[in-house]
Amino acid sequence: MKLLPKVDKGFFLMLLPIASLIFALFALLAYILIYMAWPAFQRFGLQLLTENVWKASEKGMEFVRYGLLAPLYGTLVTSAIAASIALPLSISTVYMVEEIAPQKMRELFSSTIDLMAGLPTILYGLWGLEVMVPLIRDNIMIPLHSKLGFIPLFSCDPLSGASFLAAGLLLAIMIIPFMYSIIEDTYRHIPHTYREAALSLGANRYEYFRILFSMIKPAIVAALLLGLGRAASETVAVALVVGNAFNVSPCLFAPGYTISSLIANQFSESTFYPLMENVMFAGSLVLLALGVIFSGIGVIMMRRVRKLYA
Amino acid sequence: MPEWRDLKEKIFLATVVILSMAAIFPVFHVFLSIIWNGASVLASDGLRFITDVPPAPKSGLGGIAPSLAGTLFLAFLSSLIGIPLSFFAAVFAVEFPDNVVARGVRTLSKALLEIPSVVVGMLIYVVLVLPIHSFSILAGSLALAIIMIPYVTTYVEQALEGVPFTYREAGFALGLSRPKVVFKILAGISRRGILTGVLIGFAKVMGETAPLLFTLGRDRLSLPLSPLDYGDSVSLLIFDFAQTPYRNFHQIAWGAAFVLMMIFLAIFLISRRYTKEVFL
Repeated sequence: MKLLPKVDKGFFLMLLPIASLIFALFALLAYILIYMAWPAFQRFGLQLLTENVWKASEKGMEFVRYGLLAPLYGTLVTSAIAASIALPLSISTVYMVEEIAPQKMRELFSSTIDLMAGLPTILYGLWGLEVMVPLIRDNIMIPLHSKLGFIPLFSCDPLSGASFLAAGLLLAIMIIPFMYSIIEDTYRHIPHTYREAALSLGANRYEYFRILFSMIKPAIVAALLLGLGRAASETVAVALVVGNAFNVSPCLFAPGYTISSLIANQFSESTFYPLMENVMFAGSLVLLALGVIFSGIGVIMMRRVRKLYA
Repeated sequence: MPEWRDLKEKIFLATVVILSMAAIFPVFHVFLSIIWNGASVLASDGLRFITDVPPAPKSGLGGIAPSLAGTLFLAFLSSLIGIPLSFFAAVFAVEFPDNVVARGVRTLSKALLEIPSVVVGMLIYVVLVLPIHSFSILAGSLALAIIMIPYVTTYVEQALEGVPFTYREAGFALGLSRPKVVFKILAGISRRGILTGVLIGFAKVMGETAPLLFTLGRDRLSLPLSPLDYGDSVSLLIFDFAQTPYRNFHQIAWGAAFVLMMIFLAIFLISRRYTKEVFL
């Protein structure tokens, strides 16, 4: 700390407790999560993550058995579907906005994307449940199941339509603006000389695209990872369309669970059953760990690309 | 080979146009669906929709007054807690950047974005709802205030840092103390950016659902009068009613979605007037 005049010191000391509250919040969060999750890990060990069982009982500790494999699987599958759909769409939108669209359309695109980013997630959820799910059941799931039902991915009968696929699609829509803003921000910072160099070599638009986007590969990987993290933590919209069933199935049309939708649905009742609450906290700890891994690597990637062009 | 090269370019351009349209198309579909389904509910129900309480299952339309009041109550109370906290934390991080706490504030306030909002709800449930044995508007507001922090701090930090250094120098040259420079000069110059941050935080908490699941108590039949009352929010009402089998509840959910979307659009358009770029 540099030497501060007295009045600055007062200012510093006045603001310090407020700023420290954010630290306290994190400490509290970490403490509560670990404290609450601990009994679950103590009782079930790693089986908590590798088993698909959900036996709740009011009678006592000995009768219950929980394993979070199904929601963990659902979280990974739905976010993977979402990120793999959203990535090409986001890249295309960046190129469209930055290189193709005329001014007016550019503004339309960027305002729309801002709107998409801010729209309350429950509105996506309601739309997903009432509009999107029936739409994709009738137009995608049923035709695929009847024509290509021998492929395990499409092998199960799409009942209500609420499924891994529905959740993945809805999440894809929701994370597009997020991935877009990461890629676009980096793309804009590519120095002009590189663009001019590519054009002066006579690159056509496709070649120009390949050259420039290969330069920001780390940012694209970062967008993918941060998008995965975002998708994994989304709660209410997913809870409405994922079907809420403990299911570990390769079939995309099967209803499933994600960790966050499990919490949304069952946490309120979990206090009535021994250990269930603790299992929920263990789930959220796993979710947080996933987020830390994804966004940690993502942030490192962004640092690398910033160093190149900043 | 020139033809193949040209063809590749054409295919590429067509793909980009189609995919980028596909990226933004769904949100228009969401908008139109909500307007289509929601407006008809509001038209047949009239003003009752925002002044009445929800009906019993299978008995016509009612209103969402308690939930709407809850949403407004929550938004104001959480802003009251969250905005000053975020603002001063951001001022601290900008004014005294070279210490552990300031660096921590920057990193942690962004890291808050990565914490699933449902987990914030669980936290408040354990530290506030369980000890006082009651759900409350206050518990919901605290959860929302936490959700708000990263948005507001990021905007305020950016806004304050965006003020050219010469203004700061001018302030010091006049003999002003640092607090005066910050609050009278820097905050004045960057008020647009700060206001945008505040509005975005506000818009964010208006629509949030997950942090309220275990904190608010879902009392949709009476108006919340004190912060310690049970409450409800429009978003929570939509979430619950969409999962019921009753047709009239679904209609109310659509109507509520329409109301929520209009509130969101209003805030969005106001914040757009202040800055071109809105990042959520």
